[in-house]
Formats: sequence, C-alpha cells, structure tokens
Amino acid sequence: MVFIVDDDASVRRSIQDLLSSVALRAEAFATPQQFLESKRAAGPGCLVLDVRLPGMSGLDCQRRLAEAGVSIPIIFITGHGDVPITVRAMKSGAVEVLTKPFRPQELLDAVQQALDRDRTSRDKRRQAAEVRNRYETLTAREREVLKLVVAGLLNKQIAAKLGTSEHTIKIHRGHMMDKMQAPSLAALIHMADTLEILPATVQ
Amino acid sequence: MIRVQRHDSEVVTTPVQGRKHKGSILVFDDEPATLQPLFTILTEDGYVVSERRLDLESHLRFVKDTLPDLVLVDVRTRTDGYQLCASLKNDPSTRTVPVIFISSMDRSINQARALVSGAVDYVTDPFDAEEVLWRIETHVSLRHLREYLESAARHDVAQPVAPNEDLERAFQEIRVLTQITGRKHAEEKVRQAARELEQTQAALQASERNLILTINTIPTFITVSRADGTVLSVNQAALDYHGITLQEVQRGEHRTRFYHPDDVERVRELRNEGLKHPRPFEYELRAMGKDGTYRWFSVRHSPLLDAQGRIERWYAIAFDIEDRKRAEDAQARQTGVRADVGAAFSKPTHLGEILRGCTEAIVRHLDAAFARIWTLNKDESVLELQASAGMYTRLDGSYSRIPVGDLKVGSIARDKKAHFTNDVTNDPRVNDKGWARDNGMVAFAGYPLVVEDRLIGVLALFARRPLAESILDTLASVADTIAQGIERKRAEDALTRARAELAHIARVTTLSALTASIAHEINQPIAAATTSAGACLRWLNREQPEVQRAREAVMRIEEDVKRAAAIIDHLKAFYKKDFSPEREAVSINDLVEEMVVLLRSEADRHSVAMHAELTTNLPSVRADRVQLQQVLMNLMLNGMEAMTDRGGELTIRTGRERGEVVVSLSDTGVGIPADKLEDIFKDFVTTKAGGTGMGLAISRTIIESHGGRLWAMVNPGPGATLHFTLPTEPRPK
Repeated sequence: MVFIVDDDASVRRSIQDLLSSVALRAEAFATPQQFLESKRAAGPGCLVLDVRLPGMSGLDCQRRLAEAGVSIPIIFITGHGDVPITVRAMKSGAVEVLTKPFRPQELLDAVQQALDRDRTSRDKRRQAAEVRNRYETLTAREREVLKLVVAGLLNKQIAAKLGTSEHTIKIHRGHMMDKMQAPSLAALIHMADTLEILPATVQ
Repeated sequence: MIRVQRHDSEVVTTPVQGRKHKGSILVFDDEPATLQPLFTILTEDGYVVSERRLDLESHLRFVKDTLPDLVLVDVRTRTDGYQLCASLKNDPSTRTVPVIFISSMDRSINQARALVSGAVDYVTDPFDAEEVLWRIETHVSLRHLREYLESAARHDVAQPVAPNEDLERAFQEIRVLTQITGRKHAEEKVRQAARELEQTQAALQASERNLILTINTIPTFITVSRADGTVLSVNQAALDYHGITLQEVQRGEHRTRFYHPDDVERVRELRNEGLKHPRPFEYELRAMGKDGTYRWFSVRHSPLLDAQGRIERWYAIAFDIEDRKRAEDAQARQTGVRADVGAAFSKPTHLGEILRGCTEAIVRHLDAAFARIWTLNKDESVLELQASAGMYTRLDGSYSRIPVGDLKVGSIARDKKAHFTNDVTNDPRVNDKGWARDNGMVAFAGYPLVVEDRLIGVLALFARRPLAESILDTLASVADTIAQGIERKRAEDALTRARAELAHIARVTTLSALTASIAHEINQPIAAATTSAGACLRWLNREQPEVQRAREAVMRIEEDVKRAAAIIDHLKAFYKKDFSPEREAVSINDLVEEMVVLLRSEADRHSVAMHAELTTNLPSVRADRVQLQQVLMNLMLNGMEAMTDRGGELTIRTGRERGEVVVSLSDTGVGIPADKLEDIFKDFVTTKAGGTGMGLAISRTIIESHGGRLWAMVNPGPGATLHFTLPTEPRPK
C-alpha cells in the first residue's frame, strides 16, 4: 500500500493513477494530519510526501511519525530542488527526494525501492521480535552470561567475573544457547546486535 | 314689432313697441338692402331710422327740416358724401348734427377726407354691429348733451330735456351754480363746458386715428377672428410681412403658403384645439416673409367673451421672436458642445479617442460637415491628424500629416492665427475649390490650438452653411478648451506613465524575490501532468490496454496544462509594462483568489496559513487589474513577512460598505507601532532588510488613483490589519 500526502488534488490524483496503472494500491491524503489519523492496514507500504505543506511541513510529519514509532519508508517530493531540505530529508532516512516535475518512472522506482525496504525492515523487525521473545525467556543469570559471552570472554573469565565455577557457567551457557536457538557464537552475536546489547568495544 | 314704411324713395322704421326712444337717425344711401341688417339692429335698439335717396340740395333741406339726431352717409351714394357732410357743417342750423360715414362691401372710405369734411366717425365694412351701435349711441348722446347745454345757456336752465343721468347731474350742477353766482356766471360755465366738450371730441377722434395708425404700423401682427376662427381683419404689418392681401388671409392661404412645412400640422392642431376653449392659448411657429426667409413668431390668442362667457372674438397677436430663438439656439449649441467636449475629456481613455469625441461634438452641435483635429509633432514640425468626424472619419488620408506652413491648416499653425470664411470657393487660402463646390461646402473655420503661446495643434472644420458669428465665438472658446485639455491630458499621461514605470519596477523586484515560490506553483500542475502522462502510457501498454483510464489521464493532463498556462498568464501580466492602463470591470473576489493561488507556496515557505473570507455577490469595481493585483500582492507579502520565523495566519476579507468594496488583510505578525501607522505609506520607509520602501507607497498611489483609500490599523490581538476601499461600479440597468 502506498500512501500519498500532497495538498494539490491534481498531483494526488495523478500519482494515485500512475500507481494503479502498475497495479499498486494507493491511498491519498490532503494533509499530514489526515494521514496520521487514518487507520492503516498492516502490510508493507510507503509514503509519498510533499515537502512543503500548509500547516505542517513534510519534514515535521516525518519527525512526528518517528516519534510515534511508525516506521514507514518516505519518498519526498518537492516543488523545487532545495538542497538543504533534500539533505535533511535524506539524513532523516528518506528513501528518495524527487523534484517536481519528476519522471513517472523515477517515482515508480523509488516506490518499488521503498516497498522492498519496508518488506526487508519488516522481516528484520519480525526476526528481532522473535529474538527478543527468546531473550525474554532467559533467567537473569543466563542474560548475564549472554552479555559476557558476546563480549568475547571465555567461560573461565565469566566464572571469575560472576564468582562461580566454570562448570556452572557451562550449564548456564548451554541453556542460554538452547533458549536463544543460537547454532553458533556468531549467530548469538548477531542476535545480541539485534537486541542492541552489544558492548561498545565489540562494535 | 318693426313697422317699415316703404315709399319710392323712403323707408322709415319705427322702434319696437315699448322700447325707449333713443333718437332719430337719417340715412343717406343708394342701396338700402345692403345696410338693412344694420337698420334692423338700430331699430331694435330704440332708434327711428329714416332713409333718403335724394340729390344734394334735397338732402340738405331735409336735414334742416327734420334736424335728426345723427346722419349716416353711405359713401356709395350718388351724391358726394364728403360734399354733403361739408355743406351740413357749413350751415349753422345743421352744424351740430353729427355725421358718420359708413361703407358697405368693397368701397373704402377716404378716412382723411371724411374727417376733414367734418364727420365725427366712420365705420367700414366688415363692421361689427355692436361697435356701430356703440359709436352711434355715443354721438347721439353727445349731441343731446350739447343741445341741452346750449339751450340751457340760451334760455332758462330749469327745464330738463331728457331723463338722462349724466344730463340730470349736469343740470343739477348748473342750477346750483345759477343760484349762487347768477345767470351770467352760469352762461360762462355752460360755454366753457361746451368748449371742453368739443375739445374732448376732437381729442377722441385724434386718439382713434392714432390707435389705427399704431395698430397698422407696429411690428406686431394682429388678427381679429370670429369665434370659429374665420378671420375678420389683420393689421397692415402682418399683410406687409407676408406680402399678402386681407382676402388671401381670410381664405386661410397664409397658413399653408407661409408657415414652415414642419410647423403647419402642429400649429393646425394647436389652433383647432385652442379655439374650442374660452381661454388664451399660444404657440411658436416659423413663418416666411416676403423675402422668402423664415422667422420665428410667438402667437398668442386671447378670446373676447360676451356676458354669458361665450367666445365672441379672438384676438391673435404674433411677436417676432427670431432674435430670441437665435440666441437660444446659439446658447443651446454652446452648452451642448461644451458639455460634450467636457465629457470627452473626462473619459478615462487615450487622447485620440478623446479628440474624436471633441470633433463629433463639433459636428453634432455646430453645423460642421466634418471637423478635424491635428496635433503638432514638434520634432518633425508636422501636424498629425488625430481625430476626424462627420463626412470623413479616416485618419490615414492625404491630410494625415501636414507640415507646418503647408496648406491652410499648416498656415494656421505657422501663424498661430485663426482663419475662417463663409465663401470658400472665393477664398485664396482654400486650395480644394473644386472639391468644395462639388460637396456644397460654403464655410471653413480653422483655429490654432495654443496654450501659453505654445502651438499644440489645429482644429478645423468645413460647413455647408454659413457659420454665424455666435458659432465662431463658440468654436474659438472650444478650441481653447481642447488645447488646454490636450495639454492636461498629456501631463496626466506622463504622470501615469511614470507611475506605471515605478509600479512595474516594484512588481519585477517583488517577483524576482518570489521566483522560487512561483516556480513551485507552476511545477505543481506540470508534475501532475507528467505523472498523468506516465500513467496514461502504462494503461495503454498493458496486455489488455485500459483505454478508459488512459482517456481519463489525458483529460487530467489537459486540465493541468490549462492551470499552468493560467498561472503563467497571471505572471506575464505582472511583468507587462502597462503604460496606458485600461480600466475594466474587476471582481475583487476573483482577484483575491488568484493571488492566494500565486502566493500559496510563498505562504508555505513562511509557514503562514492563508484564509480568504469573501463576501459573495460583491459588485465589481472599475479598475486596472494588474495594478490591483500588485496592491494585493504587496499587502499579502507584507503580512507574511511580518510573520516570518514565527508563522501565523493571514486572513483576507472582502465586504461592502456604502457603495464601496472593502478589502482587509489581517496578519498575526509583529504588528506596527501605533505612531508609525501613517509612516509606513511614505516613500522609502521600510522595516525590511531587502525592501525598497516603495511597496506600500505605490499601493496607496494605486488605490487613490482608483478613487479609494488605503490605511493600516493595529489589531486588538497580535499583528496589524491593512484596509483598502474601492468605489463600486454602478450596476448595469
């Protein structure tokens, strides 16, 4: 699903029609408020957003979405190549900034790219959620062991740090690896990265 | 009952039984039948009328024998009437018998001879019975009085002769006088009275002669008619003016022969209607004199009514009002041409159009066959034809450019001296004599258009009728008005041009600052169109082409392209150098909406939300569209700039107040200090870093040149409000 926010009805309609012509479903809004208040269906999607809008600018809208934890790839369209705005938009994670009048194929490519990105990030998020669920099943001791394992410490060093025997650590480690469904240390490190619990020195 | 005795040579009528006997009248005539109606009337009124047809000697004897109260002499009598009268007056015994001459039918009385021979009066045919009665009665009474007084003087005064009131009074007076002063004195008194009486009589005759003389010689025309309008008499002046006889007038010929063809029918109707009612009526008409020219007359009919209020006679008096009419006409022409020339100069249009209005006014009001105005091209010393009205209206003919000094028009310019003639075919300065003859041109008048001794141009005209002095006077003053008008119009145009130049510079400056915003605004429809074009191609390139969807896309493209073109048109108008602004009917609401579209992106850039609160059904204003757009743009941008870095709302309202459209723009910006509310409209006063300080000054000039006002007010809340008014166009009926 592609969402379009542009105050110009004609621009809205033409983009919607262009997307329909390549069998993409689209929903259009005249203002960011309307978009933010709408009930959006689940599934991969992207947002085509006019930079300059009355009341709330496209960049403000982007920020509001981020604050609300809504993660949707954004393609900005702007009436003129305004370099500072383009830079800001790209920095804030925009997929593309298109200057009106843009070539229809450019928009379609950008939309396709955004949808792919959304699909990927959705997969990632789903995987991360799974890892988090698994992480939630760990005991406090197992979580401590996990942190120290991904920090690269050996079992003996962990035992020393936690003030217990190396044997006990091995058992915790085995449970932890099972619960996290980690086939290897490399896979565990990847999971820890997803969970954002990697110590800074490793990164 | 009248008893008429008829003998061979004598007819005597006696008064109707029971009527007072007024006196005896002796008539000398040859054909009694013609005067018979008069005798009947006299008899009915109480006179004994005796008629005699005798020779002179017998006449004299008969008068001596009978001593009638009055003798009526028909001038047609075989005997000489004047001789008879003179003989009676010579004989002391018949001297006091009054003689009145009477004529019937066509025989006229030699009035002078009649009076010299001693007649007291004369009556001419056609005569009025009542008038004759009155005259006869007067003279009979006078005779009675005289006889009485004379006998009273001769004999004893104590015997009254007739039961006449006047006589009674005189008798009383004389008796009293006799008692007081004695007979001698009374005699003297009586003689004096008799002398006075004779003097009175002579004076009466003289004044009547004067009256007749007056009536016949005054330039006023007098007509006496019967109740039905048939003419009885006309004074000599009227007959002389037309060169017509009384008989012709009586046949009514003068109305068709001498009245102006355009007046005949109107006057006939007015007269027929007027004659029906016993009250005065009047009308004006043109009547031709002997010399074949028409003059204007004012005719007033006044009725003479009898005791019962019936119309007995009509007295019509006709005054010559030609001079007054001419003055009125000249006045009307002058007023008309002045008004039209004034109106031409008050029109908000270019000089050529104004001058065309002037030449048209001259043709319309001053009898010109055609009139032209040239203006001087000083650099080339050439007169350039600006306007031509009448039989020639082209401006590109052989007279379109005349070097100063060439032809008659050029010489008028060179000499700065007017030239006119009422005889063009013999005027040495008129070169197209053949043309003038062929086209019946009679008069030419040309005037230099001069202001403070500077030549501006030439006004010239040809006419098929001689130009009266009053028209030449009017033309001279109109030429003056036109010269000054041209001068003023040129100054105004120069001012307008300077103002427009300034406004244009201001517009271009403003627009260059707006380039980015405007580009965005144009890019909107272009983006929509290219996107729709992409969609269209993709609908068609499908395995099963979706023609309907493709068609819809193309229709959208068409709309978007139109929209883009419209925005570009607005912009073009802004960039246009508009030096001779044309005013047109402008809808303020449409203008506000256009400007909101054009400045939408600019508002977004300033994070300003624009609202238009427009009153519907506003009357249009007569204005220069581009200039008003400029004012709106200036005020809107000012409002936005007042809100830079803080955002806010710009509200544009339109409304109506007492025949004016009111537009107000409220911002929620930094506002204006109350003591600077007027300063902001001064030239070069600015609060903005990049401003020229001319925006509001130009805006005020523009609004004031449209007859409106522009002012600023402090808002109760944040920001300021700028208001302007414009007079509304009168609604078309």
